[in-house]
Amino acid sequence: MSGAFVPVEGCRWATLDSRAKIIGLMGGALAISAAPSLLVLGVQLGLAGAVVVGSRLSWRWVLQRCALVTPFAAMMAAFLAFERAPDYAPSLLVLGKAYGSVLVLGMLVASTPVPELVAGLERLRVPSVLVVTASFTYRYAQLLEQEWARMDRARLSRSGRTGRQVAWGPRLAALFVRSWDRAERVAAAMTSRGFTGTLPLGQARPLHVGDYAFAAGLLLLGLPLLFA
Amino acid sequence: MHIADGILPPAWCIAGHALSLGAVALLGRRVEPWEVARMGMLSATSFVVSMIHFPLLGTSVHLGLFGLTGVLLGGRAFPVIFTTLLFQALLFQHGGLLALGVNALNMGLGALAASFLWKTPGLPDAVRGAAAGFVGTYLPALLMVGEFQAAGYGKGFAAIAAVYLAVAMVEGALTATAVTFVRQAKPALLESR
Repeated sequence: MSGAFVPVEGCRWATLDSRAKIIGLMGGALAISAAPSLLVLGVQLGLAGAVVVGSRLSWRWVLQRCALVTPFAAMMAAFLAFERAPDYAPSLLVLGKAYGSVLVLGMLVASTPVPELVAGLERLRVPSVLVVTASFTYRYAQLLEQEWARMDRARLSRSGRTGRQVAWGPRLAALFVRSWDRAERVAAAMTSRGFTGTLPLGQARPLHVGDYAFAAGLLLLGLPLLFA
Repeated sequence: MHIADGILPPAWCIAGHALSLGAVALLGRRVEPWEVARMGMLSATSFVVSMIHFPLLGTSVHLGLFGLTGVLLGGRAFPVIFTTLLFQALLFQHGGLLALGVNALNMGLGALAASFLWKTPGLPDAVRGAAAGFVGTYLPALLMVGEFQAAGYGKGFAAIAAVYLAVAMVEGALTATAVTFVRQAKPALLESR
């Protein structure tokens, strides 16, 4: 899991401001999911494909990302195919929209480290409780993964059984209890250092022409909708 | 149970974000500094636990622990679940970013219902925990099925609801044993909300 927190190296959009990426890519994905016909969707997917090519991401990464959504998207398309047979256009539309959204929003994940993304959300005025909780989640997720592995090693060394897991309830509860204890220690330490419930946010750099151009370019994905 | 992007109409996604961010602001207001670390830690725990998959009825499912989160955090569970889902969508493509608001509403409502059930007086911990775990999982599944039917995907999703009945029963049993363990190991944790 730890590797999942690291953005993909070499993505051209990595230097852009996270606010521009969040607005542009979310807007682009929204436009794709509003496509009323296969023709409009095809034009949008062509434009989205150009963004992907321009990002210099490897196709392997892009395909892996698309593969993750395939079971769900395929199931939805299959249900729709049964419902609307013999008109299969709605099924294809759903599949295309799902993959198009993954292509566009994958750029956000590939080019933005999690702390930068969280800072971007805060600067876009999402509720501060969400920003702070996200910061702590990012900080502790990897730590807890190690805690879980440590508990697993301890269990194995005591029982020597490598087969089926047993006693999931107590194991999960033990993880929660350990997490809670740790959180209380962390909170006490942070409060003693003057923590007031918000995390300090660094100075945002001013938005450049490239940031505006990227966001505006992505929002152009909504343009084909006007001609539909 | 995580709805991907491109599946629901865009207007629904926008409404879902507006409602769930409103709920985050409402249920996350006046958070004390000592609560923040606790919420972040539980969000991280839910995130890590959700990566544990196990086979069920020929498919692979993962734990959500929305019921247990609701039991432990009460109303604060909503912002925590929103954060967990955000990370799952970003890092593992479990659910979409556009559909995040709708997903958070579904699962957050499950956690709030679980929290409500947990406060039912006069019942043993194991019974309340089982009910909370079951409802915390099954209510989001039913909401999702209802949304798919309303969006025009047909009535085939009744079968999915049946699969989630089994998942909810597993979550109910896990939550019951978890709260029993917590009652013995750290009872203050169950009284804090």
